[in-house]
Amino acid sequence: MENNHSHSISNKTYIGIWIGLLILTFLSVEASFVQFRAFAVGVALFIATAKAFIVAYYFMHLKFDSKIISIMVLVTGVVFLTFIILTFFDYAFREPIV
Amino acid sequence: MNMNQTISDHAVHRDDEASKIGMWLFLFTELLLFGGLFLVYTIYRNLNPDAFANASQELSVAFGTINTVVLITSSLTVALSISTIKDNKPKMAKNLLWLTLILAAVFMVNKYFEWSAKIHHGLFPGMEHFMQLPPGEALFFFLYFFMTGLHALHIVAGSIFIGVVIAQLNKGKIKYDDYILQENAGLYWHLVDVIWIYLFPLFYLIH
Repeated sequence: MENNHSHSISNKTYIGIWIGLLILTFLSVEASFVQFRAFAVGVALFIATAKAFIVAYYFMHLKFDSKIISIMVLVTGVVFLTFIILTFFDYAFREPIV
Repeated sequence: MNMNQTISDHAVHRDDEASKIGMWLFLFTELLLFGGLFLVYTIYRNLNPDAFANASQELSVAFGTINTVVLITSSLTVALSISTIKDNKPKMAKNLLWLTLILAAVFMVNKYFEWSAKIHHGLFPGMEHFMQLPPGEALFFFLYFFMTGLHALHIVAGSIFIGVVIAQLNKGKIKYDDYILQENAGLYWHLVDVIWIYLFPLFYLIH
């Protein structure tokens, strides 16, 4: 069986990814001081999700592992998103809590 | 017939991919454990936006940022240690894992000082100051202690896992062509990092 040695990432790439993650971290700290109230949560979650994706794709090797694992991760993500969206529908159409 | 013979002639049965899928299945349960907590956080924050923003001012962005950098760096050292063992450099792989453990310790020491300051201010659930907070702010601190506490517990568990990997490297049981345990420990560590990636903006970066 072929080992996935040839597919692995070089140390240089890993360090590049690390620098990218640090830049995103500082970007998200800086963004939090800018007052765009309405988008603040969206911006924070967008950057966090970008970071999580980078960690999963490169550090957790989703890019190189069997596609079945990526599909499983996707399914879990969709299940979780469904829970969030359904719960929000509940709160959106409920009488306000006094 | 001579099935048994054939099996015993082979090396111990290994299925690295199945092992990895098993680890991922476990990670999904972890994801949903924290996912439930994130859901609770999101709902309560939506119901008490101002209280959450006020309470969050108490947290130190500097501490949170430093810990984020520490955890991201520890994820890098774990990833590097796995590519190092593939290159058959067990000593280097071990050193990188030790570096990860040191970074984990730095994270926990920071957390200790952070929590101590909050507890000193009486913000731990049940303390006097906590009891006098408006309900929304009390919720924020309750979730803060619970979620960062549960996350810190995962740092401890991940550190023990990495400790086991270091021991196996010492015994030569993990080597360049058999390192699935190290990969799984790495997956766990990265998951703990991913959870922090979300905890950080949600607790520290609301202004």
